[in-house]
Amino acid sequence: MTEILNYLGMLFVFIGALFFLFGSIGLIRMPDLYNRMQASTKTTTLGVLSFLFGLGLMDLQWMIKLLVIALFIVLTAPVGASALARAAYKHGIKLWENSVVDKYRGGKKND
Amino acid sequence: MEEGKFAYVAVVLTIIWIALIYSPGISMEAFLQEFIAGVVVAVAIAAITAGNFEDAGLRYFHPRRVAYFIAFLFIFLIEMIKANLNMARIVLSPKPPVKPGIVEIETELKQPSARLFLGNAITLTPGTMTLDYKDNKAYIHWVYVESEDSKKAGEIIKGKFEKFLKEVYS
Repeated sequence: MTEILNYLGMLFVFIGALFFLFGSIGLIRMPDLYNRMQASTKTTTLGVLSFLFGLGLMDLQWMIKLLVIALFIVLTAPVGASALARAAYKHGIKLWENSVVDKYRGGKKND
Repeated sequence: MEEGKFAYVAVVLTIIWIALIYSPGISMEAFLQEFIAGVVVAVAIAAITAGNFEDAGLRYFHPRRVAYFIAFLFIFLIEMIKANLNMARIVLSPKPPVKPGIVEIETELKQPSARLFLGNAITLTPGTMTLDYKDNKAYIHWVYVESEDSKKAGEIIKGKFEKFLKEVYS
């Protein structure tokens, strides 16, 4: 049983690492700051969750504590991303030139 | 009402504290000591800060609300996995299919924590990221804009989240 859980945990850790990889690739390939943040925030959050869950499966005693860590990450990571993106916008970092709409600045097309 | 808020904050803090101090192999005695110290601090913090929290207080522990909140978490988790697969697809395709923009949607949620959950859920689901709240409007950055109309966009972005949160915070 522990053997199975161990392998299952490894699988989850592997999936988590895979999402980290996607996030990093997204960081390089996306066109502007906002899109890059989208790619990195989402993938790393799920990556961390998967990672922590996998660790919990490997050693069940620590599951509760790892889930608490996961909860705090889910609550704070998106808030941090929102705050950074908002600050970047207020600082005047432009959207990508091919962006279609910018309602934040009164519905005009980004110029 | 003040007492309700006070009790709510103290209970929530204590639950978080228990989850934090519990570790495998901790002795009953040590656990008890830390638990009592935690309760004292939780009550002190609740006494100072309870006034800043929302009105509902202990009513948040109503079984119906808790049930809806758990349902919300499950939907959230499923949406999040979908979002990540979608993101992986975008990132790995030879020419990333992006059509970014910032759209405006309306929300009926008023409580700050309800807005926090909605904002977080939006940030972690397919291609959307909350930028800012202004009054009852939220500004969302969208990797692939499907609709610029605020109503239609709201339906696509908020999905089922808002319905469940409305039940939780009704």
